[in-house]
Amino acid sequence: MILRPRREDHLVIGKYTGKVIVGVGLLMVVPLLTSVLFAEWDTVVDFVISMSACFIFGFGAQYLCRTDKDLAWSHGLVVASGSWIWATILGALPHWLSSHEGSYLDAMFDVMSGYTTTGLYLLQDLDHISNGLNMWRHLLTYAGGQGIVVIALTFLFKGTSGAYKVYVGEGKDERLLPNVVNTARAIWLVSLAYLAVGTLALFGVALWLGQEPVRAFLHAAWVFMGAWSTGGFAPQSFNTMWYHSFAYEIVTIVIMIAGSFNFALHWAVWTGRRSEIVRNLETVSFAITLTLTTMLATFWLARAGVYPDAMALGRKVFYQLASGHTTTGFSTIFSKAFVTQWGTIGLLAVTLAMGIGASACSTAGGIKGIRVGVIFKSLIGDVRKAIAPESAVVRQHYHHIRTQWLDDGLVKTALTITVLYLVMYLVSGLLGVLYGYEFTAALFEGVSAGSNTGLSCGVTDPSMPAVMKLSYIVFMWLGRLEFMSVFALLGYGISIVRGR
Amino acid sequence: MSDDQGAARTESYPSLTAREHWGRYAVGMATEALFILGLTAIGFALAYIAQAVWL
Repeated sequence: MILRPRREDHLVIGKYTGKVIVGVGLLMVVPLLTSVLFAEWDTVVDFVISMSACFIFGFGAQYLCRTDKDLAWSHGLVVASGSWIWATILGALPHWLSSHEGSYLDAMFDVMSGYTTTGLYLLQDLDHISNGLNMWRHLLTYAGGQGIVVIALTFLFKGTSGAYKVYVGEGKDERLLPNVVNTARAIWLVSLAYLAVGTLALFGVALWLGQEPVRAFLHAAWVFMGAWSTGGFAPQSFNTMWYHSFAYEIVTIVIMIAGSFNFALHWAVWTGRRSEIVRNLETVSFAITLTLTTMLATFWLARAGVYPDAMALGRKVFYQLASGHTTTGFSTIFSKAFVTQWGTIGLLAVTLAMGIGASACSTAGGIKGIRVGVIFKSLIGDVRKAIAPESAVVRQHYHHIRTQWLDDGLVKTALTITVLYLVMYLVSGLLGVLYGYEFTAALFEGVSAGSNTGLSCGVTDPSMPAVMKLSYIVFMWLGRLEFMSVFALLGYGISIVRGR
Repeated sequence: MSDDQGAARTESYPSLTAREHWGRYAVGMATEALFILGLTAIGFALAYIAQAVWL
């Protein structure tokens, strides 16, 4: 029997959703100030309108849904997934008001892409948008990478016992420290430290390349946010290829791979357990699959003679593969080159890397290295069991922060989520075929959306059918929240209609 | 709780951003960067091997 949610359930969900939306409104202060600094008055008006809308919605929801009841687990999941929808609808206002979007759906596509750290975009004439809007795009990915709920946890949810439930609902279920608010603060500490060092490094390289200082600083901050959040947004339509710099590429590689690490791993390494980086199942799994997919693409492209020398081959292949595997979406080749130069095997190598993705509890998307590692370990365990004497007890273990036993429940969960991702990838590919795209290209683009990567082979375009735009929005949302929160929201909707 | 115990407790839980942690954090960040540069080196080594095989 499905229980119909009570009035109190609606109130608690409304109240916390309101808090998150107030957080989104507060986030708009940064692009607003950027626009004021550069005297972009039209953009200032756009952000004032958008902030007002967020505050009216956020404070209005909190006022209308006054309750002392705290969050239950199911509420946390519904708040996490529901907040993302409202944050997308309201966060799209500055995009839409800028007149750089073909429709409100396109604006929502770009904002969901930002929050989910995907990086696909439909915005037109990117090279001529205001600094304020560019700041908003990149801030979206940076905040989305942290988890918009983590922002609310840090600043607005102080001391609430239900906060952890929303945190889990957003797909980050590891406590770095015993207290969840301190965990959120530790995540911010790691991110802000990298923000300072990464931006400085990119700024230095840009100055050395001859970029004007203010421009160099803005580009450095934006590219850092795109890389660290594994979002893949860049201020120029040529993405990171625009810089034509090996040094810039190396710095972005370091930032995007670091951004794809589990925050628990960062915390372990930063607090003295340095060997964790070579022992952790996630980093080991990532290193193996990155090397294998790079090898596949490298040998294929060397055979095809696409690049003139080993240096060019290494630069292009490793950058696209690292970008794909970390689910960043930065690119140093033209979108169409994936189809016209990289061919089927090259395209599949990147698709595979994107599909696997990087670490859990990070800014990255995809199936995640830990699940791939757990499934592989389970397979090895089954083989060991099969060849061991009948009386032998065979148990597998793995290392993630501490050595842990591999139990059936863990393997079952890893397999369930993996199957859900694979089904989503397949559906996205088939959908593209239905609309006339070639299967490998449609699969590449669908996996890119569902794994929150953002690499494009040219399918994502303002002229793309509206159904595909809407589907990609859903794929990005599902992929980022790892299904469960979205299913909880659907269940909540069904229980309102059919519950007793 | 005595004052001494209170002081000891404060000492054992310094703020996450306390200056005494900065050195450890910097070493942690450098360790991560080295690991990533190692992976990058493997990627470039593969390119040189592949190019040598197919030339």
